[in-house]
Amino acid sequence: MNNMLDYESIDKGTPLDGLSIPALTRVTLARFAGAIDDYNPMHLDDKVAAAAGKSSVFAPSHLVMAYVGRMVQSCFQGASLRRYGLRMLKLVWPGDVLTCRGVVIDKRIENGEAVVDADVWADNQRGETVAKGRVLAVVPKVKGRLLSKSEASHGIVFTASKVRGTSSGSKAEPKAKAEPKAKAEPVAKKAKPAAKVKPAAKKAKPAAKKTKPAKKR
Amino acid sequence: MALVNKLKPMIGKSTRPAIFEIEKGQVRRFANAIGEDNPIHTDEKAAKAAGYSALVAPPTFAAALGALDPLIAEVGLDSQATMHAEEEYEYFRPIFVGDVLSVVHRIADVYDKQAPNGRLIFLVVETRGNDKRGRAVFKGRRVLVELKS
Repeated sequence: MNNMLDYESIDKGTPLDGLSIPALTRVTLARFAGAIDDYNPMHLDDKVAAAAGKSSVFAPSHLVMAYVGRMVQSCFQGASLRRYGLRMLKLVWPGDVLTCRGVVIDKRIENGEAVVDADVWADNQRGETVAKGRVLAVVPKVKGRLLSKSEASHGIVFTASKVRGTSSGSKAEPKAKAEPKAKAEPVAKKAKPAAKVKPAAKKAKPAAKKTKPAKKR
Repeated sequence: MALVNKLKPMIGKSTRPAIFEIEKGQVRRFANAIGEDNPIHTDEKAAKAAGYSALVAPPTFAAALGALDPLIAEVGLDSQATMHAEEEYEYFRPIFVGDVLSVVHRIADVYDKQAPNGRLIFLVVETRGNDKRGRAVFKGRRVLVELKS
């Protein structure tokens, strides 16, 4: 949906849609500790962190990994995530505002699968990169197609389009379509069938572009 | 030098399999804690509509399975002074609510490096998460660094 990547439409240098994370709080850290059932006091107790020479508690690497992972998941809708890793470069503190980003660095056909490598990273509000890593995913070869059964049988596949539509009570899709309609009704009406008839066609592109800003908040 | 040599024999040591029954609340809490609002993680109808048999865990949920602290302590390092320097996962399939996973950590390597303010000890831990049938669900590789010593 927001951006289903496919082998034809991407290339080295194609940026992934970034993801901004609200300012980190101690409550964020506490909730995460509870969620993973890991109460390392370095992330929860300022006194313990201070005793270890830190200015305050700081985020566990898993949390940074999870944030960048959210971006990966939303960018690789319809793809199969095979590998994901991060290297931690700087500590992340309460008050930090992270932005997750990524860029495609390679694509190739490997064992008949369309493989994409992307660099992914998170920057803080000072423009420092706090973590950097790599993603390997298998994407559909053709725009609008799904992965084959064998491609989908290995990795984590995020079946995209239906998901939000059905879940947030079929509100999400009409909403996205409503906006271009308001701006230019005839265009929106034409765009819809065009996208349906020619799944791999270029005409689907403008329609997809219009949906994008509507879905991003 | 001395410490790292003491730790070398630990290479190859594994934890006993820890069994995790993946529960709805756990997956929902994890998704909420990381701000992930894709309903496939929290709403069963949405997950089914998307073609999944049950709620799916976010990809980084594997981190919630099996804290390394006991292993770190067993090795003799201070878990509070130990941080993750690198973390990488290989995914074979998603983790679903209802899965019963067996997680084993293994010390793959121990080495040290000279840093401006002392020697840093690095611990490489490999994790395998398998399902009931013994099939791989995920593999993890983490590099931990002990900051003092």
